[in-house]
Amino acid sequence: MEMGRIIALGLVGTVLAVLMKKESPQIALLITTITGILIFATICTPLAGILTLLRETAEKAGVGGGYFAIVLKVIGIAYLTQFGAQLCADAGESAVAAKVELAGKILMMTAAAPVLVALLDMVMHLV
Amino acid sequence: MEINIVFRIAAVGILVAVLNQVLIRAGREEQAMMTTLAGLVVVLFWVIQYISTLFDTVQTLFQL
Repeated sequence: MEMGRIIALGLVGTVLAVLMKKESPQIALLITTITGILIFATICTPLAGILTLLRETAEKAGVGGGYFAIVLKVIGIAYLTQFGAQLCADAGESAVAAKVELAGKILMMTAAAPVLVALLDMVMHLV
Repeated sequence: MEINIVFRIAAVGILVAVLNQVLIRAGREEQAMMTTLAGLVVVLFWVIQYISTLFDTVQTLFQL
């Protein structure tokens, strides 16, 4: 049932955006933004359930808690970057979209830096 | 509460487009421009509230 609502939301949003494209492209862009946000809002609760499930299994399996938090952070940054870059590309501003993606990659690298350092240390000790 | 924000924005967009045409036919181009800007600002206010809720949910969800 959830999927039906999401598809209906997406279709209505797309039709309205295409309708508004001719008169005023700005409003069409805002309609696509709102549709994206509403679809994310509907999948938010199941996503939270999956994340808590993953966290519990990670702790049970003894995987370092810190690493899972970093994975979560990188996923969040990736989602937001994707959201922004797709919107900019949709509006025709591919240069801005490329910059947003570049910034997203840099932030992901900084978030994942501790894991890289730990990996390199481990490899050093093995050699 | 979900879908009617999309309909509200589309309604404002269509209203502004029609007003725009009417004002242009009446020979007042600058007022037509003003109404388009006003409609855009109103819609932007609504959208910004939704964007801030999106950022809050993502922040709490992914512990950013």
